[in-house]
Amino acid sequence: MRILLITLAFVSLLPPAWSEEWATEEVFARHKDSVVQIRIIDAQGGAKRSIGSGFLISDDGRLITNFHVVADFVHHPGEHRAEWHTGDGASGPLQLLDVDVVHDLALLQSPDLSGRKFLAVESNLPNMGERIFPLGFPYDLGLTIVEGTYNGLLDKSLYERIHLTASINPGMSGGPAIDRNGNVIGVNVATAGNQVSFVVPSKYVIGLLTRDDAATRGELIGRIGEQLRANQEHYLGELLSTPFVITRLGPFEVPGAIARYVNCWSQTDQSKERLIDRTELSCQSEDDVFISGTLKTGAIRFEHALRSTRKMGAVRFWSLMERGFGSFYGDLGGEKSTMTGFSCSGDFFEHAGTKSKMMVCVRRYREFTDLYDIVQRQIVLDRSDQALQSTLILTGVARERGLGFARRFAESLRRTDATASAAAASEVASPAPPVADSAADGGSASP
Amino acid sequence: MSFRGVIEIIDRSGLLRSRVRVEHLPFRIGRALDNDLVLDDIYVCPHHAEVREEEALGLFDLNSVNGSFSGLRRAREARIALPSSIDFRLGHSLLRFRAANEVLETTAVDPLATSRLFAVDRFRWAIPALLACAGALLIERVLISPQMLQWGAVASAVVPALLVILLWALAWSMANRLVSHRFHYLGHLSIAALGVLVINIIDAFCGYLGFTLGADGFMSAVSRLLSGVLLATAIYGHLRLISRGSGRRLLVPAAAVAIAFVTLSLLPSASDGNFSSEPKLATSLKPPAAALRQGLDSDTFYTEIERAMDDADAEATEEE
Repeated sequence: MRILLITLAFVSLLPPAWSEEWATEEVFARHKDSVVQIRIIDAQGGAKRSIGSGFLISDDGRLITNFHVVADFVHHPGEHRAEWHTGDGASGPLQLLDVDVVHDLALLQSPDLSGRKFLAVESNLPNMGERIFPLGFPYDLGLTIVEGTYNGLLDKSLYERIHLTASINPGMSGGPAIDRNGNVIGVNVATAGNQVSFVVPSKYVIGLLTRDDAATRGELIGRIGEQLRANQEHYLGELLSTPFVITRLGPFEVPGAIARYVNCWSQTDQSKERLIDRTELSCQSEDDVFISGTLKTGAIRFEHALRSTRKMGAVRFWSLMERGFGSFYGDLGGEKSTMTGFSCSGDFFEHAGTKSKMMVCVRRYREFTDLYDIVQRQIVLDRSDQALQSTLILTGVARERGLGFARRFAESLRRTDATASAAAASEVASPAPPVADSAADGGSASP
Repeated sequence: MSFRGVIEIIDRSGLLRSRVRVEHLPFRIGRALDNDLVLDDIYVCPHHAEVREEEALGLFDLNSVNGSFSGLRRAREARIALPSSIDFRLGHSLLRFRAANEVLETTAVDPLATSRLFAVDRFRWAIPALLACAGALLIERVLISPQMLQWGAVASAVVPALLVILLWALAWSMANRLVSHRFHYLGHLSIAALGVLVINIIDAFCGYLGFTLGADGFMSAVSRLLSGVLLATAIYGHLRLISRGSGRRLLVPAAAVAIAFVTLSLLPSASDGNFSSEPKLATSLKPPAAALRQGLDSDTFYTEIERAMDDADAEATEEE
């Protein structure tokens, strides 16, 4: 320990011969004119509704920002207008050309900005530890440059993100993260606080630039729907192409961390006063797609709750299960103007000898055809003193993939301890499923 | 003079209040004390009318201010013939003449004494009903408690419900007292306690049946309907105790209250204009042994879900 301290002291006394402190000043001086503040103005009130940053990407005045910065303008164009502002007081109106809602990007244009210096985009990723400089207008405080380091792509994320160790703050969203040569390596998008920040890789900016612009708002909304459908097709298709990763939860086998971006947590509660032992396993994908301030989509969440009792009668135990089944904590967001109400359907469900009661509720995105949120909850009915309740929440999925996934999920639950007499009895009582059926599932249950 | 008949004074609920013998003629009726029948009714004149014989027995109006009326007719009459069992009105009083040849009960009978409903107005009904009701509430409370039972806490949850029942019965008794000078507290208490008990039983029964048959929606509608019918029955019982009179006309208000109740209970789900971003997953769950019906296979089950998606599609397109 002492050695380490001495070493630290020694290093700090060294003159910063290899330091690149000059780089920050120069980067700022060279590229400050290419970064603007984006303001979404409330048409009625005349003041700003939301602010973010953006950067010029071509000499005809095109600029990039985050979708979430301009979301209000996309959804309610009549009630808002978009403006750019520079540090020196210049400003002008903006026109929305295109969006990439899945990667939280938007392409805007202002003819007044044409001819201004713009930034080059670098699609190759930097080296680990390389210095990166995010720019933007944090808290409406004027143009700021931050020093940070590149720490690779997030491993556990459904949507590709660069992990940047730097302080990105609200208002910097949509600003560029540039390397020392002034090339954009990504777009500032989010922070987890304490220098943990996230950046959208610039290859998606290039993707956005190579498309034709959307002419009308209807076309834009159509594209958003298309992007969301393609996105769910991509990740659900991938998940469904291989058997689910199965975890044991007490005597049951259940879907667990089914993908690298699905993160699971578990908790056991065995207090004597409660009479019911509970073990919960909850998993969710780490990211979602921002649609509006009240609505996020494109996520998978599920939770398995195993409850058993030794001291409680069956009638009382199941009366409590009934209460638990009916209560749902987890607002899915949205408003009447964007989402339909939930339509629900439920019944007994039986697969491979496991009988359960299942309720499925669905709602649709009003503006996007064939996009739904699905909430599915089932409770296994095989023993009077033990119940496994599993809840699956899929947001922003198309009919075929969504139901395919929900179905696979429901079919994956099963008891493994054949010694349990009640389970054995129920298996005998119900007719054995046809062999062809379980083979056709692609062996979803066992890895 | 000889006995010519009886004049009965009828109360507002159509029941006999008191009787007086007509033993001499003329027999004068009015508000003044020197009458043969004194009616303390401010709409009756001091000397309002008299019964006398002119060719036949009749009631003669003595130029009263408010007049004399036959039956429910609206025209004032100077003379009302008095055959047997005729009603006539002086002021706000309803009187009935009974001829001498009519066979009358020597002692008027309490109309409730012969009614079976009157039986519930006894301790032997009220106490068991209240105890059974308390038992049902207790069981309901125990079933939803996840902790070790603390009987104090359980009892304290049941007591308020019982108090409400006791007060409900008291309110009906007060109304009863106003209308017909009796409380019938035990009767009202029996009706209320039995009502709550039966509603609990219906609820539990329909819940089980819904689970067993896999028909939650249908059984909850049945349960609601039965509760409505039960409420109508209970209110009919209360009204019947109060009125002591003919039951048929009480059916209308009882049914009206029950229909209003059922409608109100349906209202929130019917006009579900309030958008909710949380799904309603509630379903009935009972011990697995009670699930008699076989489960649907995946294909059939998810075909049903596709139908729910069609509904969502319809909702999305209809308001666009």
